[in-house]
Amino acid sequence: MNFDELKSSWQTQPLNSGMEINELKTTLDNKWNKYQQSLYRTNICMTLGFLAATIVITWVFFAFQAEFGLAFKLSLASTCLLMIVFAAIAWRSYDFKKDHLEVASTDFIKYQLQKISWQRKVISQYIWIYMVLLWLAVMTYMVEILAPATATLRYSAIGITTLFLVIVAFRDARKQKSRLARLDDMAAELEQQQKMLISN
Amino acid sequence: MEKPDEESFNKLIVSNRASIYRICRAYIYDASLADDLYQEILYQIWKSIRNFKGHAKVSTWVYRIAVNTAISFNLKNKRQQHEPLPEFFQVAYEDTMDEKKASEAKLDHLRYCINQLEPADRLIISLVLEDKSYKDIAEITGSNANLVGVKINRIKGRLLKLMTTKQHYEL
Repeated sequence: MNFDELKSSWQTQPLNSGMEINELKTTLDNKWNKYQQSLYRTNICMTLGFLAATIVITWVFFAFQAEFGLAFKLSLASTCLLMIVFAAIAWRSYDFKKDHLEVASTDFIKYQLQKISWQRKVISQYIWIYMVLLWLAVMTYMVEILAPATATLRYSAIGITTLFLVIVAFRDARKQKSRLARLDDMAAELEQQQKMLISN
Repeated sequence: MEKPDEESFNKLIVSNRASIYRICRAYIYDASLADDLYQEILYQIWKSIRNFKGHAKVSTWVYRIAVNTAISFNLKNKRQQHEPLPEFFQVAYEDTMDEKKASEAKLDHLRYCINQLEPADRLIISLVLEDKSYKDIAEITGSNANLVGVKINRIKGRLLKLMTTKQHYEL
Protein backbone atom coordinates (compact mmCIF):
# COMPACT_ATOMS: atom_id res chain seq x y z
CA MET A 1 0.00 0.00 0.00
CA ASN A 2 1.38 3.42 -0.89
CA PHE A 3 0.15 6.93 -0.30
CA ASP A 4 -0.92 7.60 -3.89
CA GLU A 5 -3.26 4.60 -3.74
CA LEU A 6 -4.77 5.97 -0.56
CA LYS A 7 -5.18 9.37 -2.14
CA SER A 8 -6.94 8.08 -5.25
CA SER A 9 -9.25 5.90 -3.16
CA TRP A 10 -9.94 8.89 -0.89
CA GLN A 11 -10.88 11.16 -3.79
CA THR A 12 -13.35 8.71 -5.26
CA GLN A 13 -15.50 8.56 -2.14
CA PRO A 14 -19.09 9.63 -2.67
CA LEU A 15 -20.52 12.80 -1.20
CA ASN A 16 -23.06 11.57 1.32
CA SER A 17 -24.00 14.79 3.03
CA GLY A 18 -27.60 13.63 3.34
CA MET A 19 -28.86 16.98 2.16
CA GLU A 20 -29.84 18.25 -1.28
CA ILE A 21 -28.51 21.62 -2.41
CA ASN A 22 -31.98 23.26 -2.39
CA GLU A 23 -32.72 21.95 1.07
CA LEU A 24 -29.31 23.19 2.14
CA LYS A 25 -29.99 26.68 0.80
CA THR A 26 -33.24 26.84 2.75
CA THR A 27 -31.43 25.79 5.92
CA LEU A 28 -28.72 28.41 5.36
CA ASP A 29 -31.33 31.06 4.66
CA ASN A 30 -33.19 30.23 7.88
CA LYS A 31 -29.96 30.19 9.87
CA TRP A 32 -28.91 33.51 8.30
CA ASN A 33 -32.27 35.12 9.13
CA LYS A 34 -32.13 33.83 12.71
CA TYR A 35 -28.60 35.20 13.04
CA GLN A 36 -29.67 38.62 11.75
CA GLN A 37 -32.75 38.68 14.01
CA SER A 38 -30.72 37.76 17.07
CA LEU A 39 -28.16 40.52 16.33
CA TYR A 40 -30.98 42.98 15.74
CA ARG A 41 -32.76 42.04 18.98
CA THR A 42 -29.58 42.24 21.07
CA ASN A 43 -28.63 45.64 19.65
CA ILE A 44 -32.11 47.11 20.01
CA CYS A 45 -32.54 45.85 23.58
CA MET A 46 -29.15 47.13 24.67
CA THR A 47 -29.67 50.55 23.04
CA LEU A 48 -33.16 50.97 24.52
CA GLY A 49 -32.00 49.81 27.95
CA PHE A 50 -29.13 52.26 28.16
CA LEU A 51 -31.21 55.08 26.74
CA ALA A 52 -33.96 54.53 29.31
CA ALA A 53 -31.45 54.27 32.18
CA THR A 54 -29.66 57.45 31.12
CA ILE A 55 -32.94 59.38 30.92
CA VAL A 56 -34.05 58.17 34.35
CA ILE A 57 -30.67 58.86 36.01
CA THR A 58 -30.49 62.36 34.51
CA TRP A 59 -34.03 63.09 35.66
CA VAL A 60 -33.33 61.75 39.18
CA PHE A 61 -30.12 63.78 39.42
CA PHE A 62 -31.75 67.09 38.51
CA ALA A 63 -34.96 66.45 40.41
CA PHE A 64 -33.39 65.45 43.73
CA GLN A 65 -29.86 66.86 43.84
CA ALA A 66 -30.86 69.66 46.21
CA GLU A 67 -32.46 67.22 48.68
CA PHE A 68 -29.62 64.73 48.92
CA GLY A 69 -25.92 64.87 49.66
CA LEU A 70 -22.65 63.43 48.41
CA ALA A 71 -23.65 59.78 48.85
CA PHE A 72 -26.55 60.26 46.48
CA LYS A 73 -24.32 61.79 43.83
CA LEU A 74 -21.76 59.00 44.36
CA SER A 75 -24.52 56.46 43.88
CA LEU A 76 -25.53 57.96 40.55
CA ALA A 77 -21.92 58.23 39.47
CA SER A 78 -21.32 54.56 40.35
CA THR A 79 -24.43 53.56 38.41
CA CYS A 80 -23.22 55.47 35.35
CA LEU A 81 -19.75 53.93 35.68
CA LEU A 82 -21.41 50.54 36.02
CA MET A 83 -23.23 51.09 32.74
CA ILE A 84 -20.06 52.21 31.01
CA VAL A 85 -18.16 49.12 32.26
CA PHE A 86 -21.04 46.89 31.21
CA ALA A 87 -21.26 48.51 27.76
CA ALA A 88 -17.51 48.27 27.26
CA ILE A 89 -17.48 44.56 28.17
CA ALA A 90 -20.57 43.87 26.04
CA TRP A 91 -19.23 45.64 22.96
CA ARG A 92 -15.78 44.10 23.27
CA SER A 93 -17.39 40.66 23.59
CA TYR A 94 -19.63 41.48 20.64
CA ASP A 95 -16.57 42.34 18.57
CA PHE A 96 -15.10 38.93 19.41
CA LYS A 97 -18.18 37.27 17.90
CA LYS A 98 -16.71 37.96 14.48
CA ASP A 99 -14.63 34.91 13.75
CA HIS A 100 -12.28 36.02 10.91
CA LEU A 101 -12.29 32.57 9.36
CA GLU A 102 -10.64 33.63 6.11
CA VAL A 103 -7.16 34.03 7.63
CA ALA A 104 -4.44 31.36 7.85
CA SER A 105 -5.09 28.78 10.58
CA THR A 106 -2.18 29.90 12.76
CA ASP A 107 -3.61 33.45 12.78
CA PHE A 108 -7.11 32.09 13.40
CA ILE A 109 -5.85 30.09 16.38
CA LYS A 110 -4.00 33.17 17.69
CA TYR A 111 -7.26 35.12 17.49
CA GLN A 112 -9.17 32.33 19.24
CA LEU A 113 -6.57 32.34 22.02
CA GLN A 114 -7.03 36.12 22.44
CA LYS A 115 -10.78 35.54 22.57
CA ILE A 116 -10.37 32.89 25.27
CA SER A 117 -8.01 35.16 27.21
CA TRP A 118 -10.65 37.94 27.02
CA GLN A 119 -13.40 35.57 28.21
CA ARG A 120 -11.10 34.49 31.03
CA LYS A 121 -10.52 38.09 32.07
CA VAL A 122 -14.26 38.86 31.96
CA ILE A 123 -15.01 35.89 34.20
CA SER A 124 -12.12 36.22 36.61
CA GLN A 125 -11.56 40.00 36.83
CA TYR A 126 -14.12 42.29 35.22
CA ILE A 127 -17.08 40.58 36.79
CA TRP A 128 -15.62 41.47 40.24
CA ILE A 129 -15.14 45.12 39.23
CA TYR A 130 -18.78 45.04 38.14
CA MET A 131 -19.86 43.56 41.48
CA VAL A 132 -17.90 46.13 43.51
CA LEU A 133 -19.38 49.00 41.48
CA LEU A 134 -22.85 47.53 41.90
CA TRP A 135 -22.31 47.23 45.65
CA LEU A 136 -21.01 50.81 45.82
CA ALA A 137 -23.98 52.15 43.85
CA VAL A 138 -26.50 50.32 46.03
CA MET A 139 -24.74 51.18 49.31
CA THR A 140 -24.34 54.90 48.68
CA TYR A 141 -27.95 55.05 47.58
CA MET A 142 -29.10 53.28 50.75
CA VAL A 143 -26.96 55.43 53.02
CA GLU A 144 -28.59 58.52 51.55
CA ILE A 145 -32.15 57.20 51.48
CA LEU A 146 -31.94 55.73 55.00
CA ALA A 147 -30.22 58.72 56.57
CA PRO A 148 -33.32 59.73 58.56
CA ALA A 149 -33.99 56.13 59.73
CA THR A 150 -32.68 54.55 62.94
CA ALA A 151 -29.15 53.15 63.00
CA THR A 152 -30.50 49.60 63.50
CA LEU A 153 -32.66 49.81 60.36
CA ARG A 154 -29.88 51.43 58.35
CA TYR A 155 -27.22 48.86 59.29
CA SER A 156 -29.65 45.93 58.94
CA ALA A 157 -30.60 47.02 55.42
CA ILE A 158 -26.98 47.52 54.45
CA GLY A 159 -26.01 44.18 56.03
CA ILE A 160 -28.79 42.20 54.33
CA THR A 161 -28.10 43.75 50.92
CA THR A 162 -24.35 43.14 51.27
CA LEU A 163 -24.99 39.55 52.35
CA PHE A 164 -27.25 39.04 49.33
CA LEU A 165 -24.56 40.37 46.96
CA VAL A 166 -21.90 38.21 48.64
CA ILE A 167 -24.10 35.10 48.21
CA VAL A 168 -24.68 35.95 44.54
CA ALA A 169 -20.94 36.52 44.02
CA PHE A 170 -20.05 33.28 45.82
CA ARG A 171 -22.55 31.27 43.75
CA ASP A 172 -21.18 32.81 40.53
CA ALA A 173 -17.61 32.11 41.61
CA ARG A 174 -18.42 28.40 41.89
CA LYS A 175 -19.89 28.37 38.39
CA GLN A 176 -16.92 30.32 37.10
CA LYS A 177 -14.51 27.68 38.29
CA SER A 178 -15.85 25.10 35.84
CA ARG A 179 -16.08 27.67 33.04
CA LEU A 180 -12.47 28.68 33.64
CA ALA A 181 -11.38 25.03 33.57
CA ARG A 182 -13.17 24.59 30.24
CA LEU A 183 -11.54 27.71 28.80
CA ASP A 184 -8.10 26.56 29.99
CA ASP A 185 -8.69 23.20 28.40
CA MET A 186 -9.63 24.83 25.08
CA ALA A 187 -6.64 27.17 25.23
CA ALA A 188 -4.28 24.24 25.88
CA GLU A 189 -5.63 22.36 22.88
CA LEU A 190 -5.37 25.40 20.61
CA GLU A 191 -1.82 26.10 21.78
CA GLN A 192 -0.91 22.51 21.02
CA GLN A 193 -2.38 22.79 17.49
CA GLN A 194 -0.62 26.11 16.97
CA LYS A 195 2.66 24.57 18.03
CA MET A 196 2.19 21.61 15.70
CA LEU A 197 1.36 23.84 12.74
CA ILE A 198 4.36 26.09 13.29
CA SER A 199 6.98 23.46 14.09
CA ASN A 200 7.95 20.61 11.80
CA MET B 1 -26.69 43.47 6.86
CA GLU B 2 -27.34 42.53 3.23
CA LYS B 3 -28.01 38.99 2.16
CA PRO B 4 -25.06 37.10 0.61
CA ASP B 5 -24.79 36.80 -3.16
CA GLU B 6 -26.55 33.54 -4.00
CA GLU B 7 -25.01 33.11 -7.45
CA SER B 8 -21.41 33.38 -6.21
CA PHE B 9 -22.25 31.01 -3.39
CA ASN B 10 -23.73 28.45 -5.82
CA LYS B 11 -20.62 28.56 -8.00
CA LEU B 12 -18.33 28.11 -5.04
CA ILE B 13 -20.32 25.23 -3.65
CA VAL B 14 -20.65 23.40 -6.95
CA SER B 15 -16.89 23.43 -7.48
CA ASN B 16 -15.81 22.80 -3.89
CA ARG B 17 -18.48 20.83 -2.07
CA ALA B 18 -16.90 17.41 -2.61
CA SER B 19 -13.52 18.62 -1.31
CA ILE B 20 -15.15 20.32 1.68
CA TYR B 21 -17.09 17.18 2.48
CA ARG B 22 -13.95 15.03 2.30
CA ILE B 23 -12.13 17.43 4.63
CA CYS B 24 -14.98 17.00 7.10
CA ARG B 25 -14.78 13.23 6.83
CA ALA B 26 -11.03 13.35 7.35
CA TYR B 27 -11.30 15.58 10.37
CA ILE B 28 -14.32 13.99 12.07
CA TYR B 29 -14.73 10.24 12.04
CA ASP B 30 -18.40 10.21 13.04
CA ALA B 31 -20.46 10.59 9.84
CA SER B 32 -23.35 12.55 11.37
CA LEU B 33 -20.96 14.98 13.08
CA ALA B 34 -19.03 15.34 9.82
CA ASP B 35 -22.37 16.26 8.21
CA ASP B 36 -22.90 18.93 10.87
CA LEU B 37 -19.42 20.29 10.26
CA TYR B 38 -20.05 20.29 6.50
CA GLN B 39 -23.17 22.39 6.96
CA GLU B 40 -21.39 24.71 9.38
CA ILE B 41 -18.63 25.29 6.83
CA LEU B 42 -21.16 26.06 4.09
CA TYR B 43 -22.90 28.43 6.48
CA GLN B 44 -19.63 30.20 7.28
CA ILE B 45 -18.84 30.51 3.55
CA TRP B 46 -22.37 31.86 3.03
CA LYS B 47 -21.79 34.43 5.78
CA SER B 48 -18.29 35.42 4.66
CA ILE B 49 -18.77 35.53 0.90
CA ARG B 50 -19.47 39.28 0.80
CA ASN B 51 -16.17 39.93 2.59
CA PHE B 52 -14.05 38.09 0.04
CA LYS B 53 -11.56 40.74 -1.09
CA GLY B 54 -9.62 38.66 -3.60
CA HIS B 55 -6.34 38.92 -1.66
CA ALA B 56 -5.98 35.14 -1.84
CA LYS B 57 -7.06 32.57 -4.45
CA VAL B 58 -10.74 31.61 -4.15
CA SER B 59 -9.78 28.02 -3.37
CA THR B 60 -7.34 29.14 -0.63
CA TRP B 61 -10.09 31.33 0.84
CA VAL B 62 -12.58 28.42 0.82
CA TYR B 63 -10.08 25.99 2.35
CA ARG B 64 -9.10 28.48 5.03
CA ILE B 65 -12.74 28.86 6.06
CA ALA B 66 -13.20 25.10 5.98
CA VAL B 67 -10.09 24.36 8.04
CA ASN B 68 -10.71 27.15 10.59
CA THR B 69 -14.35 26.16 11.00
CA ALA B 70 -13.16 22.59 11.60
CA ILE B 71 -10.76 23.81 14.33
CA SER B 72 -13.59 25.71 15.98
CA PHE B 73 -16.03 22.80 15.60
CA ASN B 74 -13.50 20.41 17.09
CA LEU B 75 -13.27 22.46 20.27
CA LYS B 76 -17.02 22.19 20.75
CA ASN B 77 -17.15 18.45 20.04
CA LYS B 78 -14.07 17.11 21.75
CA ARG B 79 -15.82 14.11 23.23
CA GLN B 80 -16.39 12.65 19.78
CA GLN B 81 -12.72 12.14 19.01
CA HIS B 82 -10.80 8.91 18.94
CA GLU B 83 -13.75 6.58 18.92
CA PRO B 84 -12.96 2.90 19.28
CA LEU B 85 -12.37 0.93 16.14
CA PRO B 86 -15.77 -0.17 14.85
CA GLU B 87 -16.59 -3.83 15.22
CA PHE B 88 -16.76 -4.03 11.46
CA PHE B 89 -12.96 -3.81 11.33
CA GLN B 90 -12.43 -6.56 13.86
CA VAL B 91 -13.88 -9.25 11.62
CA ALA B 92 -11.70 -10.89 9.05
CA TYR B 93 -12.22 -9.99 5.45
CA GLU B 94 -14.49 -12.47 3.73
CA ASP B 95 -14.37 -13.44 0.07
CA THR B 96 -18.12 -12.94 -0.06
CA MET B 97 -17.76 -9.24 0.62
CA ASP B 98 -18.52 -7.48 -2.63
CA GLU B 99 -16.24 -4.90 -4.18
CA LYS B 100 -18.32 -1.91 -3.10
CA LYS B 101 -18.39 -3.04 0.50
CA ALA B 102 -14.66 -3.72 0.42
CA SER B 103 -13.96 -0.29 -0.98
CA GLU B 104 -16.16 1.37 1.66
CA ALA B 105 -14.46 -0.67 4.37
CA LYS B 106 -11.07 0.46 3.09
CA LEU B 107 -12.21 4.07 3.12
CA ASP B 108 -13.63 3.73 6.61
CA HIS B 109 -10.38 2.21 7.76
CA LEU B 110 -8.50 5.16 6.26
CA ARG B 111 -10.87 7.61 8.00
CA TYR B 112 -10.36 5.81 11.26
CA CYS B 113 -6.57 5.95 10.94
CA ILE B 114 -6.69 9.65 10.02
CA ASN B 115 -8.78 10.16 13.14
CA GLN B 116 -5.95 8.70 15.22
CA LEU B 117 -3.68 11.56 14.17
CA GLU B 118 -3.41 14.79 16.13
CA PRO B 119 -6.01 17.43 15.08
CA ALA B 120 -3.44 19.68 13.36
CA ASP B 121 -2.02 16.70 11.45
CA ARG B 122 -5.54 15.67 10.43
CA LEU B 123 -6.08 19.06 8.84
CA ILE B 124 -2.81 18.94 6.96
CA ILE B 125 -3.31 15.40 5.69
CA SER B 126 -6.85 16.26 4.53
CA LEU B 127 -5.33 18.99 2.36
CA VAL B 128 -2.64 16.62 1.06
CA LEU B 129 -5.36 14.12 0.13
CA GLU B 130 -7.04 16.93 -1.83
CA ASP B 131 -3.83 17.27 -3.87
CA LYS B 132 -3.02 20.72 -2.54
CA SER B 133 0.55 21.88 -3.17
CA TYR B 134 2.97 22.48 -0.29
CA LYS B 135 2.73 26.21 -0.99
CA ASP B 136 -1.09 26.14 -0.81
CA ILE B 137 -1.02 24.11 2.41
CA ALA B 138 1.42 26.58 3.96
CA GLU B 139 -0.86 29.47 2.91
CA ILE B 140 -4.01 27.82 4.23
CA THR B 141 -2.62 26.69 7.57
CA GLY B 142 -0.05 29.42 8.15
CA SER B 143 2.72 26.82 8.54
CA ASN B 144 6.26 27.68 7.55
CA ALA B 145 6.54 27.00 3.79
CA ASN B 146 10.08 25.62 4.20
CA LEU B 147 9.04 23.13 6.88
CA VAL B 148 5.72 21.99 5.48
CA GLY B 149 7.27 19.31 3.24
CA VAL B 150 9.09 17.70 6.17
CA LYS B 151 5.94 17.83 8.24
CA ILE B 152 3.83 16.24 5.48
CA ASN B 153 6.30 13.40 5.02
CA ARG B 154 6.20 12.72 8.74
CA ILE B 155 2.39 12.67 8.78
CA LYS B 156 2.23 10.45 5.68
CA GLY B 157 4.63 8.02 7.32
CA ARG B 158 2.59 7.95 10.51
CA LEU B 159 -0.63 7.40 8.55
CA LEU B 160 0.80 4.55 6.50
CA LYS B 161 2.13 2.96 9.69
CA LEU B 162 -1.31 3.26 11.31
CA MET B 163 -2.92 1.76 8.22
CA THR B 164 -0.60 -1.24 8.49
CA THR B 165 -0.60 -1.77 12.24
CA LYS B 166 -4.33 -1.24 12.70
CA GLN B 167 -5.19 -3.48 9.80
CA HIS B 168 -6.78 -6.60 11.23
CA TYR B 169 -7.75 -7.88 7.86
CA GLU B 170 -6.28 -8.12 4.40
CA LEU B 171 -7.99 -5.95 1.84
